[in-house]
Amino acid sequence: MNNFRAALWAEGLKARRSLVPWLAALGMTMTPLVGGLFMIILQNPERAKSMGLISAKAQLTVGVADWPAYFGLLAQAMAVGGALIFALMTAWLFGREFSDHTVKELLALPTPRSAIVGAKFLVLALWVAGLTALIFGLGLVVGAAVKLPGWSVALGWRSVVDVVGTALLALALMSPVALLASLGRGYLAPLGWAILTLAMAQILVVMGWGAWFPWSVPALFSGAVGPRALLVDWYSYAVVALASLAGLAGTFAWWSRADQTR
Amino acid sequence: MTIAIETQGLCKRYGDVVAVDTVNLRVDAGEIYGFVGLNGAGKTTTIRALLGMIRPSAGRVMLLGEPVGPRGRGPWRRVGHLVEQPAAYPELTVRENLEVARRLHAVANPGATDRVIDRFGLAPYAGRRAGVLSTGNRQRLGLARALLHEPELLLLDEPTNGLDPAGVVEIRELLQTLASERGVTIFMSSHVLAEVDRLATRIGIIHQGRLIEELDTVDIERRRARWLVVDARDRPAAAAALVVAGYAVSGTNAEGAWVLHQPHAVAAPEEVARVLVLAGTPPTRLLVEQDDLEQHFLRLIGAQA
Repeated sequence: MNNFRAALWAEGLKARRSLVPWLAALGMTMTPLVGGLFMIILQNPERAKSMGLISAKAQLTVGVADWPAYFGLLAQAMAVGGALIFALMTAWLFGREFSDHTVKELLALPTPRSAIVGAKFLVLALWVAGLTALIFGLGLVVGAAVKLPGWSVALGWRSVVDVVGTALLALALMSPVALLASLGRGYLAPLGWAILTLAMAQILVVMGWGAWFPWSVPALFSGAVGPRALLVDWYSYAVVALASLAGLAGTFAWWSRADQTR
Repeated sequence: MTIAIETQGLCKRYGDVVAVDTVNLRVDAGEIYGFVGLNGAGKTTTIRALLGMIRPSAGRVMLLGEPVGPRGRGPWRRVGHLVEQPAAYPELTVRENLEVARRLHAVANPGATDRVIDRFGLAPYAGRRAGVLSTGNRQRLGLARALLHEPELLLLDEPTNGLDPAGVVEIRELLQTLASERGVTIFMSSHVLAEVDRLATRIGIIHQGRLIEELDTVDIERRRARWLVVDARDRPAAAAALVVAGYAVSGTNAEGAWVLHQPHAVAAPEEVARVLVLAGTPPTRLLVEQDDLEQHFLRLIGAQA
């Protein structure tokens, strides 16, 4: 336990001192702000046009300016943005040890390698949790500021489930990203993987196989495509869990056993 | 005597390439073992195998009586290391980098960080980000990290890389003190042979993955060739006088002076001088020369090639 605490402290310090987690989080916080802008455009299309803002895109993206639409936008952004921004953070957490050649300082230690890998995953989870809370909280502030109609406490709780559930599903799919950052010893392989799976997810949703493809599930869960009950089944969660467990097991095994020549 | 490092039939292959070939090492506690070889000879691969960073294709490794095995198993609380170029987290300060190492090495005493900062002269840079350190100071940081937990065994890959001459002397003296006063075993690889020659109590020469020779201090002295360089104003007359007196003139050196390799000539240059004076060609120069490790190494590598 002390070993794990030491590893967690070290990973926490590295994350706090680096610009990457902060910039990635900043990128993600654009979601509620941009969503709020869309709401303003939808509420006052003529005024928006006079200010040079194009309302067609906002209308296509959201439809109406109310709380359900705004929360829907946040959940969708969490599915798509999460896939990329969470992957960026994961690629940094694992890949930086190879890019900075610091991995060799983490291998022959009294602190087991599994504690270091576990601490990295926990820092990722805490970062995602903090970011999700920030986005949801900022969303509440922005929504209230632009005076969106249609608020209810029940809607608020449902939206918490949507946003947090989408974030959890996206987070679960980060373990294969961590594995690829380790196998590829850097950033390129995991980021390439994130882009590939995002594209594949869209294609497979269009083809009607999204519920079976783990990387489509967060977007289906978020309601981006349609009602969740019609699109997501138990096996959708099962394939996400399987992909997640495979990534976790692979990452731990790789750090424990693979030759480290950098 | 306790064995600090022991390998039995250590091999590492990458496909068809044999990086380390059946290396049997035995380093006793308190020794300073110099591990020398050309670039790509297998030094770093051997050190990585000793540290469990790569899995041997065959053979086994024991450090301080404990096996080094899969999943990072090994006596790491008692081992310090510096492998190739020392790396540090560039966004962390020198102190924070050492603090990370202190915690991961499970050193309870927070004063350990200050102690190594002082010992390696890093105090002026303690609050500076590691990413902006000079090569020499990064090397000091790497050494500070290796010694932070006061290990019994130090595995150092090119420890004086990037240090200025004063830094080289400082590290040499530090390593000598650690070995002589605290009984720390030091296994260091280097291609700076003069440095190894000064420091090591035993030397292993690795070439093309194979440990081709091991020398202790006595061996080093014994195996070093010695010869007598003789010069005179009339070189042909001097050579003739030496031959008449029973010396075998081996040839000339780069400057054209005669070279004698016979042990009795090397052991008694004054007798050579007497012969030359009596022959009317007194010597202008008499000099006993000796191989250093570098020449011995090059000759050995040449013979292997």
